[in-house]
Amino acid sequence: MTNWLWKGRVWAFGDALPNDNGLMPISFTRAQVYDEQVLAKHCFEDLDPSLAARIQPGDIIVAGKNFGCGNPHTQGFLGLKGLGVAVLAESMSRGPLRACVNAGVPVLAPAPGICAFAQTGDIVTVDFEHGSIENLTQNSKTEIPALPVIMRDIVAAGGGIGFMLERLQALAARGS
Amino acid sequence: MGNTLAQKIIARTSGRSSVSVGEVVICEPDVIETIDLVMPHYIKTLAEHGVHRLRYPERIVVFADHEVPSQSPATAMMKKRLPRQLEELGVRHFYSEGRHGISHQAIIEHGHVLPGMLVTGPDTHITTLGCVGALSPPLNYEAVQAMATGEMWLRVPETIRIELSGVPPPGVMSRDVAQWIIHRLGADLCDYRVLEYGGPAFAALDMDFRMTLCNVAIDVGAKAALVEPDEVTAAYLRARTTAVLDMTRSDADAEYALVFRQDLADFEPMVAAPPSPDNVVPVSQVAGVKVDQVYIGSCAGGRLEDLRAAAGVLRGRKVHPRVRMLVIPTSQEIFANAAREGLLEVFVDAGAIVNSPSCGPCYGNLAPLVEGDVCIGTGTTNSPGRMGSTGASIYLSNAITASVAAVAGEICDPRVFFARGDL
Repeated sequence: MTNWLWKGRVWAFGDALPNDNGLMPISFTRAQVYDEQVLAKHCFEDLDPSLAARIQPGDIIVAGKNFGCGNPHTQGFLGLKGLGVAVLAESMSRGPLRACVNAGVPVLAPAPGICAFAQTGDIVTVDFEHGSIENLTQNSKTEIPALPVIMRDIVAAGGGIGFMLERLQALAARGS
Repeated sequence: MGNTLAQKIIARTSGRSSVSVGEVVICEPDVIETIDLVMPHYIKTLAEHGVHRLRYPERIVVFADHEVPSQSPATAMMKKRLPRQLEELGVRHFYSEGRHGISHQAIIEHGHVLPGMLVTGPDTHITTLGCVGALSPPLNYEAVQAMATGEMWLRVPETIRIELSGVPPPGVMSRDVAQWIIHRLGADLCDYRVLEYGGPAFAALDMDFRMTLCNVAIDVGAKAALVEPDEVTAAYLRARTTAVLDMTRSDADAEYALVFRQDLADFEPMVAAPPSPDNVVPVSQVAGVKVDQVYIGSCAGGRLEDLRAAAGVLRGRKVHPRVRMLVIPTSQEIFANAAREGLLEVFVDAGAIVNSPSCGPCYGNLAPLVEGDVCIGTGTTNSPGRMGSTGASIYLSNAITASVAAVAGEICDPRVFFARGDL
């Protein structure tokens, strides 16, 4: 069973943090690197080279509008998976949201008002199944749309490849 | 209430009679377009998970495009192994180096994409395929899964209808219209929606124009863009395929999120300034910016219309001594046509570099920009680092404006440039 209840420390970012050269240097896309653990070490390197080492598994990325914008190369989101974090963003456009889910990273976007709700260093709990969030540091609560069911299935399968294996089994059982 | 073309395509490929906006469904795409550079990793990934066959290998079409020819021994080795790997998987549509083009261009030229199809693939600018009335949302890395399962999931999108009328003035090209419309609509409106183009202007807008319109939609987060199929579509495809064409359009009473009307006569040459493709301003606002590189190419702008426009500027003129100009036709077919028309000679005489079709500079692996460089051209996007250093500045424009900058050594309003007449 997937654990949809998270408790972790917040790392807050502003609006329009790009995927390429924001989440991840684009050199890792050009070099076709897919190892989550390797990529994790380089997450946010263009913003602050020391950041990735300070982020702990279970921590929560809080981001503004249009998180991960630009070309949704998978490397940035695999890096987040490698860090073991989840994402709450004011908004994400289609490509980055799909890439984030497909990397197996729990994500709630749109999460309206999340930037005002939680700041770097706050401890929050998130229920991804129901969309309820509690800020233990600031003693406040909010409700946002939960993760839609098919995206939840993909995250629960550990990402797109795991989901693919489940679908292939189902198709084989159906004889097609 | 009627259905949009996007809804009809999603309904058909998900085995449903109709679908509603917001529903999440699993569809079987008619074609999966992919590129040589990602396939070895995809095949390896599948093999590591015990997957050694693809569900519909006949639906997969592979192109050499991002790095042609190879620029490193590693790529060369990868390309050496790929034909055998594809053969083992039963993938027979493979356009290798020399028979290639940027995938989104060449797949249309080879008649693989028809009106009403659902097509997907890893590369974002696959939205270009909407030029023939297909729905073509990109899947990025998810494409590997789609190849194995023959499936993809989709949330049924809303559609924005864009009605174009009139004729563009001289000096205005598809790129100005395309770039200005995404700027005008903006990312918030376009996100997750399909842009559907139609209207009286299209009777005179050819496939090159339509490709550019659909290409840039992805850069404001649209799910896809398409032009409703018409006589221009049918005439273009009849020369390229014997398949029966399904000319289905949206119903007259289909529900749109927005209907946007625009007269093409109202346009002027536009430039997308750094740092994003929707930062669009009239060219006069950035006039005087010195340039180091000019680039005519990419899936957004290396087509015959672009090469003719560039040659029109360069004929009898020289590229400014400070400037490196690259001209890279989008496909082998375009390259050959440009040769027949004598355009390549004009470029070389002017002091431009002509390269064989590839994504090249727009992928950042050919002629990389260095810190402080300024480039203007027809590449797809101007996000920092796209063409090399994050410290370089990229301006996007039509091929005329870019070529004028090559001669003048700085960004210049083409209307001013030609009025001066002395350059």
